[in-house]
Amino acid sequence: MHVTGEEFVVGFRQQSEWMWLIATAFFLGEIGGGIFFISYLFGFNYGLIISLILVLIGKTTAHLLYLGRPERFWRMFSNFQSWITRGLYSILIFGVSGVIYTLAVFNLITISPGLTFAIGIVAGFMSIIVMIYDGFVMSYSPAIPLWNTALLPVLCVTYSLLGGATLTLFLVNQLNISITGLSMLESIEMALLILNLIVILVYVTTMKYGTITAKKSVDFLVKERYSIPFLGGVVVIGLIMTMILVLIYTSTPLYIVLVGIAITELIGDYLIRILILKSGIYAPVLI
Amino acid sequence: MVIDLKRCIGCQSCTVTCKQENGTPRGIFYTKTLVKEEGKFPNVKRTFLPVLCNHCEEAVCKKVCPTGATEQREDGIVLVDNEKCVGCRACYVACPYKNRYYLPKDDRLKKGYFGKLTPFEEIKYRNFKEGTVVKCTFCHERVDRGLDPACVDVCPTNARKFGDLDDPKSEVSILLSERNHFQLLPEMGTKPCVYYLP
Repeated sequence: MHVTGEEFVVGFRQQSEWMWLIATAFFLGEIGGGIFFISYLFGFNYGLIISLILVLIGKTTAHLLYLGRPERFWRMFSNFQSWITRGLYSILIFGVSGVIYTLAVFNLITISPGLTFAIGIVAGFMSIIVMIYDGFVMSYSPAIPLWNTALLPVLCVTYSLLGGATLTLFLVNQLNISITGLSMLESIEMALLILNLIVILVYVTTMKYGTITAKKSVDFLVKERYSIPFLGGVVVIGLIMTMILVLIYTSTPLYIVLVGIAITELIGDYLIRILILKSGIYAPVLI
Repeated sequence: MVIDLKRCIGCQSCTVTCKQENGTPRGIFYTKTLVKEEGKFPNVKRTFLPVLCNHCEEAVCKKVCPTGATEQREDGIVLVDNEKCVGCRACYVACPYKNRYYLPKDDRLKKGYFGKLTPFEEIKYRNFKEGTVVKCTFCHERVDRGLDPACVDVCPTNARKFGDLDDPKSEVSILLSERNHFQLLPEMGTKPCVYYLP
């Protein structure tokens, strides 16, 4: 049975509504959440600013551009049963607590250290929700078997942390700021690369042995129309090449290698999101 | 609704009548009849499968809607309030049956089918709002007046039957009790309210 478009025939149907803008929104939000979490752990305060810009301006703008009726966005706060609504609240709380915490750590407002710590904990926790909720938005519906798996939120978090670690590592060196535990961040980067490779392998393998529709999606990713961007872009450039560059960087910390790490990792990080969206396939209504 | 596949001849009368009744813009079909071809020459079989919104008991579109625009009436009919819809298309993506449509911001509500709106289109298009999701309403305005949906009324072979599944004496309940039947993609757990008689 073939993949069909809107023709009046029974067949697999490819998801076509959530594409570039949604992928961009997911990418910016998850990367932003990842940077906040990593920067918070390592005390890299400039990372907090970058993170807030990515989430509060980048992600929300991409979402608003996508909406058919953006002027009604406030209505999206009304159904707490929906993961989109839950995500919106998490962004709101993350934004408020993140901004207050960032202002406090830069001494632009004065609040007690205890309260600053507590707000930091809230912002750090909400950054995890910002990273993970996109995965729940996609996995909630059974319509697309490739998305309807508990592995998708996990994949979102691991990729967000990887993107966050990469950009934090890059920004720390770019801005020439010393943070404690920089060598540990390099080790975390490598560990996250290995973890993501494992998660991708597990995800693809699990789906391959799932329903025929999930298998069709996997075929799209590894054999058919998206095999080059997936295997070449996500796996080889995004993970394996980044790993090699991280290994080179740990022995020879050259700036150009660091730029390479950031570019290759972000390519893979973006591609995985758009490819998962594009490979979403609906089961035929009649077998 | 119950659809007898043995009676369906794939004439698409339901598709056309639905468009007339609801005045749906270009490219939007609340119902349509899909074709499935099986086998190889000379042993080929064609099956016609009329599809429409299944008005599921466990409507996943309702759960994912962040604005509450997708609502379910007490009689089970699932409707979209286009004053609340923000066009996020979460419902569109979540529907396993792909029986929802997004009305994009293009010229179809301005130019209609013929480059300029006909009087019919002018009236009917008032029910549509660009940037929102639309779907089959089971002709709820007709149902409220005690009539059947337009697709049921027009079917020349009486393949479509409409009624109250909770009433054991209704024609649809009797049909389901007497004949084998199936729902589309029951494994999705949405409990669709459109049944098919093979």
